[in-house]
Amino acid sequence: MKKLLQIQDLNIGYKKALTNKIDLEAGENDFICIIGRNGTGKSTLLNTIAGVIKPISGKCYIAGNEISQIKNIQISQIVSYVPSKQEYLSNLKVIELVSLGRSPYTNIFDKKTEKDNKIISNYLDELEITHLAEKNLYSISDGERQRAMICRAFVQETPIILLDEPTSFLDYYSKNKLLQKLSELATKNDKCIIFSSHDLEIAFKHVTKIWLFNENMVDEYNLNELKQSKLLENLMSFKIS
Amino acid sequence: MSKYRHTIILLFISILLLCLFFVDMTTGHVKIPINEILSFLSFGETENEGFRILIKEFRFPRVLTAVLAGGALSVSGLLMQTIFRNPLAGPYVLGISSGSSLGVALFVLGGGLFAGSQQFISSDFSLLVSAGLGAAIVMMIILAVSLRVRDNINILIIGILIAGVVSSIVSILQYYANEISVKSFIIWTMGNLDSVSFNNVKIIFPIVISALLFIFLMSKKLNMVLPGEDFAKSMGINTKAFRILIFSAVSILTGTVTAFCGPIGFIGIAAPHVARWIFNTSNHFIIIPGSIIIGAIFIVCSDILSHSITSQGVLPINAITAIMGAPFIIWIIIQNKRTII
Repeated sequence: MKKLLQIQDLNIGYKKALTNKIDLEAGENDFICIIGRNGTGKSTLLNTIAGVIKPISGKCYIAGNEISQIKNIQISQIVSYVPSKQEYLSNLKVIELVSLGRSPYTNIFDKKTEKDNKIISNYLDELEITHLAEKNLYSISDGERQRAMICRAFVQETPIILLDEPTSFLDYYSKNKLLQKLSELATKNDKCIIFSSHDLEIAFKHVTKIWLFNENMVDEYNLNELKQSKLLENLMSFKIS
Repeated sequence: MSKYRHTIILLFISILLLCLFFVDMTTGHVKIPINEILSFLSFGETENEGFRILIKEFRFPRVLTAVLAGGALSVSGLLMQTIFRNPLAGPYVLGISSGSSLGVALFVLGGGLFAGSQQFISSDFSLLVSAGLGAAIVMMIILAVSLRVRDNINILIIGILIAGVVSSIVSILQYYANEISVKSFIIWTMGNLDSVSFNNVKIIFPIVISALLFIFLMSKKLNMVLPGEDFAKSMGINTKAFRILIFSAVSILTGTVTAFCGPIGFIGIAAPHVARWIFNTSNHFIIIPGSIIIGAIFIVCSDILSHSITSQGVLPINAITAIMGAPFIIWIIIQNKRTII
């Protein structure tokens, strides 16, 4: 299994550090859920790995390179990121948003090859949003928009996929379906997928590892360890069934 | 399928602009026959020597500047709307046009005040520099704020406040300046395409065309900015550097147009909305050329009206653009029920 992400002594945050030297690792076939209370730093961690914000201290290696050493455009070929904020209300069509996922590979005029178009229509199908392709983003529902944004990340075809609360706007059917799809991508296509979620019950059915924010530490667990430790019961009165 | 739709619409509005271009060329104090205009444009000569001078020195510069100003201002507005992700943004709202006004006011009024001479005003280059500097200074203030303030609504509020401060300074300058320079400044603020000479066009044309070309080449990155700043960053765009780049282009476009034509309002906000409505997309590869042509149509129409409503003199173009455009935009917003960038 190839290591794709290595985090060493990392302190994350905007001005004040939210964590105290976290150490984590992830690689191909990993399907990881980040959990924790509100405001503990789940989004900040994802933002840091995606290169949106700089770490306060410590190192974050992506595919062997320190993140600050990676050239801007290269990072979009290694990491794709779905932020949780739904800022993307615009007149763009779903197909235009999804196509942005190919932009790290296209020329200055964003000319798409046949292969690009094939990838796009393939993932539109897989996320069941082909019928929305020609609709404008403002005219579809929050959940549909979220699926469009996730589809864009898949289209980017990066080894690492980060998603910040991807299930938040989805109905029960779509939540399950999405996590199943993500799990498939991780196991069959050798991706490393990390997402944050509050839908613990559904998430635990699919993931291989769990990163738990507890006070200012983040530690890795598998489901059994978490079950035995009773950490979740103390932390958020959640009992794993 | 929709690809062809966009091309057809672009083609259609281009032809419309071309027709309006010719109509505007014939409009003015002296009616010039269309065949004289065609022969001037194809051979540079006319049967009547008087017409040739009239076309070359007045009509052609005026109409060509109208087209360029329309394109420049609407693209400036479009870029501000995209970067700030706010449908209200535009060079006028953000105080960039007022910045140019201040530059020109310092130059025209201050020049009259301190040097006691009107000679400076006739110098195109110094006019251009002062308007451009004025725009750039306001731009730099807004840029500095925008790199610190994350909320775009606050940037808009700050832009409006800056515009207020700038216009206060301009009125203080007017208070102290002499009558002649005040009059020439007031006329400049009303927007005026008639005073643009053939030599002015030689400056405006290359600046505007190269800036627009440059911006068109940024379309891909502009599209990536649309889904939000975090998204753009995760796609590998250095958002700060990109903002500075786009802001510089907007300063150059707005500054150049404002220097020669006065602060023309409205087009910057209106044209991009019309373009998004007609093309039903925010894709910059389509919406940039679309906004350019629609902005140009707007100003050329206003120019035709300003020359044909009254038989005496010319109505200020600024008044026409607003009266003509505002009801149209209100109608579009009611149709769409919401404004989207």
